[in-house]
Amino acid sequence: MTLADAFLNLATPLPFLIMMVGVTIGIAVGVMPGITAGMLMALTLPFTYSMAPTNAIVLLISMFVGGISGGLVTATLMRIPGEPNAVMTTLDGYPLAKKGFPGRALGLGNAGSIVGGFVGWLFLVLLTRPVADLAVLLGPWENFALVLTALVLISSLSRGSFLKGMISALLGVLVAMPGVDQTSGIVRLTFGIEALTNGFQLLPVVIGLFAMSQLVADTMHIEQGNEHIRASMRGVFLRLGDYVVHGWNMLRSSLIGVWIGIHPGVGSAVSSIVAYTVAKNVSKTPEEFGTGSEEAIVAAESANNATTGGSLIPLLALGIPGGIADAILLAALVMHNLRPGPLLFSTNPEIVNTIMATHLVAHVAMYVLMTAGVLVFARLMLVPRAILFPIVVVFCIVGAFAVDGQVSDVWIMLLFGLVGLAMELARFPLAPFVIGFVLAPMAEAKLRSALMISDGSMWPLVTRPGSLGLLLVAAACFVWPFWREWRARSPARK
Amino acid sequence: MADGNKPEGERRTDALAAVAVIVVAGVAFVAGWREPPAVYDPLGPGAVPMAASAALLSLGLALLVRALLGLHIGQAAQSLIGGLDATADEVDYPLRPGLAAFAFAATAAYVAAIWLNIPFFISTFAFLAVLGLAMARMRRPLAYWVVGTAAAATVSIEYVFRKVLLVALP
Repeated sequence: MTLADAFLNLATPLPFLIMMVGVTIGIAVGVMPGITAGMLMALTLPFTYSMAPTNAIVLLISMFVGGISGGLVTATLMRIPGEPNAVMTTLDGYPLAKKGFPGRALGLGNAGSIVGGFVGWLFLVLLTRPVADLAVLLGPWENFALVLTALVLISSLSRGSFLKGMISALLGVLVAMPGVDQTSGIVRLTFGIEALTNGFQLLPVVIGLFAMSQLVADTMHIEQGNEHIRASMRGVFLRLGDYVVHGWNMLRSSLIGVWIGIHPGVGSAVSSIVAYTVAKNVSKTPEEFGTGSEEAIVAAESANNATTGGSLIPLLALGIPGGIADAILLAALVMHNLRPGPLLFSTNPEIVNTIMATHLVAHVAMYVLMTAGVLVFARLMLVPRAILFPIVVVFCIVGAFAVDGQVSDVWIMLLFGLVGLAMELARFPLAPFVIGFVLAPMAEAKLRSALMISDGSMWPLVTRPGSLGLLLVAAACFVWPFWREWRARSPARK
Repeated sequence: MADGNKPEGERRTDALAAVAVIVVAGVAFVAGWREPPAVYDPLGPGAVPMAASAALLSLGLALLVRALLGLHIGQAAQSLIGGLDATADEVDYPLRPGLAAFAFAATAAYVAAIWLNIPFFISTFAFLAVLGLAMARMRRPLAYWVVGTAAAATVSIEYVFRKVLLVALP
């Protein structure tokens, strides 16, 4: 199946219906504060078992695109980011809406979102294949070094604390260890607990870490008011002149979003912050930022949608997820017996092309739905949380149970809900944990097959130029935060 | 080098987290060490867990030392779980930590009910109604809506998952 075939497939009734359902549910969930796109994807994953792999991918990608975009509505009308990536939109979307231009604020956000989506898609199509072609040349040593580098990179890019980022990633690696060792067939690190024979499954871990802990945290804020500005259709449709005025800002912010998306573990929340800051720094009217600036809304929304395209590049080309949503997509591919990474282009081109086609078409669908249905979606943010939250908990439990039909998986989900809460309270970043958990089995398999080839010698890791180069990058990423801190604290620089 | 501005509570949290990390890493290291060697595989099943836990142990010790000495550690700049560490001074509405704890306890009780083979239909309705009413603080008319929605949601979940999506329910 070529990319053109994938587009044609999306025009057939069932995939089209699945895509529209996915985008609609994604937007609806994005609108509802407390439920994120990643959470929705994690909860949906077990129910895609019986679907054809391409349809499952269409559904998940559509939810991803819809969820990332839906946060705009709540951010603009309620000053509550429906999604973490909409934080920067609240700063100017709400003030602009409060000035009497809610439709204009939503229209600017929608326009930024679709331009960001297009730019992200363009880079997804242009870059993924060449990167995958390079990745095919890598042997097991280089693959192991690549995963190692990705783990260090994720931690060093976790803004705030490199030490905590590394600890989080290594905890994720350790959690992936119990169960049957794939190379020797020996059951390890189960501590005599029978439920651990198959190891920790991805879904109970992810649902617990993100969904359960987020719901408990949101319950604490249940008294938060539902004060909001009424949505209006006036100004939702932008004129051509608006695209000319904001065109460069949209493009620049989208490029920032793609660049940040390519880096594992950073995510759309950071891309919107960076794009917002850059837009403010180059703006002729920086004093308007924070008071309802149109430039600010456009920058934040362009960047976060462009990130979705950027983050899919390492997933498809290398099998390394860029963020939480990508980790869930990776799990979806594995669940359907597909091997993410460079070989996916030759073994299952229909999957790669379906992802690419859906990414673009879902953005168009998102734009149409968000523009035409904004009044309907705006009403969803008023659903009482006393009704919504308990139902989402039931979905978490059903989702965790559906993986293997074991209640032990539900207990594991609850356990990781506590782990997520504890890690967040101690301000450890959660993204490196999940990515470490996902990548560890892959890294171990590569290392052990490499060692079998080299008769147990580790030397090829440093004698092969590719793996040595990657190790040097990892070492630089490891040393950089400490060197930067040392420089900052050096008395000579004060 | 000491960071005089580092709040005492934050230092204590970091130190406690470091101790937890050291314990986890220590247990995993010992468990990895006890794994038998594999016949054809040079590394064996315990090597990678041992290497990962050794690295974790050293980072945990570094975290503990820095926390005890009051050195800069930092924290995740962007929380993925919003509002968890918000204080009552930062918001203009009452926080409900007790309700959050109750929500978690109610969820654990619900899972226990499923584990004890209490029918999914009954346990789900009871869970939705009890937690919903606690969240609504029994205020009317919301309480009526909560109970009505709990019944409708239970029937819908049972029907859609079991009959339409053919998903195994507890």
